Amino acid sequence: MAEIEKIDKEKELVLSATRGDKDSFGELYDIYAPKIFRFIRIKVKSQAIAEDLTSESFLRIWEYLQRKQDIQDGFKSLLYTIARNLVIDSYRRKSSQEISLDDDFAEFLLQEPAKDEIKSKERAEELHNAIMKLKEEYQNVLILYYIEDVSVLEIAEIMNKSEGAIRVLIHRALESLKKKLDKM
Amino acid sequence: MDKVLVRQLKNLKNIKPSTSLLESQRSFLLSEISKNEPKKSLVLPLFHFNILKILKPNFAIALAIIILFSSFGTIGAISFAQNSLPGDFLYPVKTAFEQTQMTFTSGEENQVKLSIKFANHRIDEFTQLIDNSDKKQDVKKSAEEFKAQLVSVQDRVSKLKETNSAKAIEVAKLVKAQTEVYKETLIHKSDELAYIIPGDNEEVKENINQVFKEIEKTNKLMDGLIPENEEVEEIIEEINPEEIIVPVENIEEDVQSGSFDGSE
Repeated sequence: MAEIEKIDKEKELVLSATRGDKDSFGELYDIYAPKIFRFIRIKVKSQAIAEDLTSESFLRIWEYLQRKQDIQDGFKSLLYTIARNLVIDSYRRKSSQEISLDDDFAEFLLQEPAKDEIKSKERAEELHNAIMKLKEEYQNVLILYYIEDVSVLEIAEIMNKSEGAIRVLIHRALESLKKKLDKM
Repeated sequence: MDKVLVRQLKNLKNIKPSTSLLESQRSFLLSEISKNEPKKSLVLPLFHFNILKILKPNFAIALAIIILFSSFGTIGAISFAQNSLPGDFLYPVKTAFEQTQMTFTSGEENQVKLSIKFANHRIDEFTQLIDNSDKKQDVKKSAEEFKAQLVSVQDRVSKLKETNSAKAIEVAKLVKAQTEVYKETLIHKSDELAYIIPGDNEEVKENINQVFKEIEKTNKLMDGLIPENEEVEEIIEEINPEEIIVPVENIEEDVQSGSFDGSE
C-alpha cells in the first residue's frame, strides 16, 4: 500500500512539474538524483563527469516536461533514458574509455566505511573496472536491475526491448561480468 | 559464485552523492529553470524578403488593387493563416497565398529565392509539428510538403541553369548554404528525439530520415552546378549572412547562448 501511495505521490509531482511547479520538480530531484547519479557514476570515469551529467539529465527532463506534459507514468524510464544517452554522448566525446590512473571511484566509496575496508575498496574497484569494460547494454541491465532495483518491465521501456530480451540480457551480462572478473 | 557476485553488485548501492552536492545542484537546477523563458511557438522566419522589389510594376499595381478591394475578412484570413500548420483549417489559405505570390513573381532567379523562402516555411512547420504531441498524424504530411518544396527548388534551379548558368551558380550557392541550416535543424531535432522513449517516435524519426535524404539530393544537385575548383567553405563564406535564413528555433537558442550570427 505504501508503494502505491509513493507511486501516486510521484505522479502528482510529475503532473505539477509539467505545469511549471518548480517545487514539485525539486521534490522529484530529491527522489531521483541519488539514483541517477549512481547510475551514471558507475558508467563513467570520474565524479566530475557524473555530477555534470546528472545535472544535465534533470535540466533536459524539465525541458521535456514543459513541452510534452503527458508522461506521468513514464517519468522514471524517461529520466534513465536521458541519463543513458548523455553517457553515450560523453563516450563519443572522449577518445578512450580506459580507466585513468586518477579515477576517483574508490575514494568515493570510502564515504561508507566497511567492515573490511581495504578488501571492500579493492573489490569495488575491480567491479567498477569490469563493468566499464562491458558492452553498454550489459552495463545498463546490471546497474538498473541489481543496483537500482528497476523492474524488468521498466528496463524494457528504457532500452526499447521486450521483457524476455531483458531477462536474457541480464543473464548474459552477469556471465560476461564474471568472465571479465576472472581475467583480472 | 552468482550469489556472491550479485551481493557485491548490490553493495554498489553505497555509491551516493554527498549531501552538499545534492543541495548545491538542486539550487543550481531550480535557478536555471527559473531563468529560462518558456519556449515561444514559432512565428515568423527572419528572412527579410521584400516581395515588392521583385514584382513587375504592373503586377505590383494589380496586386495592390486586389488587396485594396478585397474584403477585410480575406485579409484577416490570410494574416491568421500565416501561422497555420499542415492539418489546420486555414493551412490551405496559407499555401494558396504562397502560390499567388509565386504567380506574381517575375524572373526565374526570384522564383527560386521565393521557393527557398517557402521551403523555410515548410521546415518551420515540420519542426513545430514534431514538438506538438497532438499533431503526430500531420508530421508525415508536413515532411511530404517539405520534400515537395525542395523538389520545386531543385526544378527551378535546373530550369534557371538552362537560361542563365551564372545566375544558376549563384542561386545554387544560396541553396547549399540553406540546406546546411536545414541539416543542422534536423540533427538538433533528432538529438532531442533521442532523449525520448524510443518507440513513440520511430515514425517521426523515419520522416526526418526521409527529409534528410531529400536534402542530400538537393545538395548533390547544387554540387553539380557549382564549379569544382570552388571550395565548399569558401562558397558558404561568400554568401551574405543576411541571405541565410535560420529557422526560428535555432535563432532562439543562439540568442540565449549569445552566439547568434545566423550561421555555423
